[in-house]
Amino acid sequence: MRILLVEDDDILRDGIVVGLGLEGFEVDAVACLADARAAIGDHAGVVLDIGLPDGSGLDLLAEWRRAGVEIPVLLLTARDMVADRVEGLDRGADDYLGKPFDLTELSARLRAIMRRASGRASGDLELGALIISEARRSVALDGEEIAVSRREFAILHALAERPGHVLSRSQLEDRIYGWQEEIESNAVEVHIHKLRAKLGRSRIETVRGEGYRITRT
Amino acid sequence: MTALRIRLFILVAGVTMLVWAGAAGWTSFSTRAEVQRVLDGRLVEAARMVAALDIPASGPVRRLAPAPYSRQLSCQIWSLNGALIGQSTGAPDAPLAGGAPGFSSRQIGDEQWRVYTHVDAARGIRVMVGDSLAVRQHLVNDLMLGLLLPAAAGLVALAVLLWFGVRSGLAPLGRVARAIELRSPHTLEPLAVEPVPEELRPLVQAMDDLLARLEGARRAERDFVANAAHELQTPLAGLKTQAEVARRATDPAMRDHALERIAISVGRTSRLVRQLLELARQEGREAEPADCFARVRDVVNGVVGDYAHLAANGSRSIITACGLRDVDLAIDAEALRLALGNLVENALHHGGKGPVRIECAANDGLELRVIDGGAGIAAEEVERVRRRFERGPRAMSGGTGLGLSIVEAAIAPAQGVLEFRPDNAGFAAVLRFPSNRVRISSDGAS
Repeated sequence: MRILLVEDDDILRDGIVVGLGLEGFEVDAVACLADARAAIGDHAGVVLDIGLPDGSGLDLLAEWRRAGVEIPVLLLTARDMVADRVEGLDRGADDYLGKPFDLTELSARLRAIMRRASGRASGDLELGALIISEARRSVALDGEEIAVSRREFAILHALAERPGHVLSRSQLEDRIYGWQEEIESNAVEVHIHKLRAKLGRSRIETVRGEGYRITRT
Repeated sequence: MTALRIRLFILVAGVTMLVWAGAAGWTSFSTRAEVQRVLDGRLVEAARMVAALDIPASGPVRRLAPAPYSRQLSCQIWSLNGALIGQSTGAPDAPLAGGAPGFSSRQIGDEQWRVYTHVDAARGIRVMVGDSLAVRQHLVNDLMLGLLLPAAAGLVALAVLLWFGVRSGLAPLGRVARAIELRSPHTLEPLAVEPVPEELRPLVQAMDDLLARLEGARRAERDFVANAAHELQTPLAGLKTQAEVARRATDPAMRDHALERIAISVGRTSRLVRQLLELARQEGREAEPADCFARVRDVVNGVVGDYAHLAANGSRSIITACGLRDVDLAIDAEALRLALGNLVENALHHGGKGPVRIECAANDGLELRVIDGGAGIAAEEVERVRRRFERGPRAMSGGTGLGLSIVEAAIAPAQGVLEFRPDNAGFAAVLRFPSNRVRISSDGAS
């Protein structure tokens, strides 16, 4: 679950990057509107501060929405005023959080808006006997908890969001790695291999020349 | 309010009474004199009429028939040799007067008489006509009473009218007082009393102006507190997040990194709080007395000393070109040092690589320029960076956006203004003071 963070205060930015990392997110962080415009891409969500040195995050949000960017956005507001929140939501924000906040609340709200964006209400993905819990980042098969690594979980989650839909290797890489990270050429294959070992071979299918998909049952 | 009404009433009523009493006294006096004159004239006329009657100089004493006014007038006719010839009924038997012609007064029994004596030498008779003074007095008193009683009754009516008149005349004052009384202590709205009489207009106006100023000050304070709280939210969020990271970190390097960030953030946040307090202190200063002088050169040297360390850390230097040995500025020295220091700090942080120059010039007022070799602030950015809590586009992290506000607040009591302009060497922030705050001392040696 790769997200974009736009926050100008370097200490808060650093804290969110590391903290959301602990919660299983991959975070790309920028400090101003110009960088955010350049960076926005295949992110599952955006955490956007309102007061930025080169303008208001609300303006960027409106700009994105006009341009058809539909990535769910969570606003960080320092001014805990109703008018600000209303304006943010009206301009296309999916949620807001007043500073200071709890990391766990931030990650829960992020997961919630990303879930809503993918059209689901529940925090659990159920594929027959396979249950993927976003909040606990846990995977259970036939009621048995299965230990998966952070990256394995991210790949499984990405595939399970749209069962039957094929994701290419580079799409999966985008979903699970941040910018600065070195990606080994066969990293996705290695994770898929380990997941198959844990969940059974038939659960994740390889579509030759296209990528991977997860079966519904 | 009531006190004013009573005061005014007593004053007006008192003056009215005084005038009324004077008029009454005068009327009484002149009426009395007029009545005396008329009654005296009656005496003379009556005496002549009696004398004109054909009365023999001798013979038995005649009693004149009692006339309706006999109680008022008494008449005696005497022969010149002293025999009573006739008298009116009710007249005393004793002679009314001594015998000399003209007016005279005499006490007969317990009655005082006013008598006119007419002597007709040819006929040998002497006619005396007299008024009892008691009767006269009674007449005068009746007359006076008839005049003064209605006037006294009028006086009571006048007092009542005065009371209500004063009350309604002072009613606008009452309205203003009530408007003030009924205000909640928390509203600073204008009084809104209409109509206001001309005399009260300056008072109401002054009150409204004061309220408007108070309201402005209160709003500024509220905005300041709101902004300050808002500015503290972000560093607090950073602290909280980093603390949570430190608590949950599994590897020591991550925890150390978070703890280090917390330490930095605490430093920055306390700087922000310090600057907020400094700004509040500078804004709370009263207008500066014009007799408190700071020696400009000493302040400049002090600032250079204050920031030498910071400059050296960044391999920069601070150069002064301040030849003004003998120039004093009417400003609190600490405030000037604070203002200049903030500009120097800005120049050190943002002003490129070269040295920071402090220049002084004292023609037509005083200018203190802090010049750096940096790109400065674009004209369209100047208004923005002046605003409180606004940081420039290339602001250092940890800047509070309060520095320029502090500078402006510090020099405002000395009528100083802050300007920015390009300088041939780079960019200049200028503190400018009017010439009436500048003093050139004669002892240039100091």
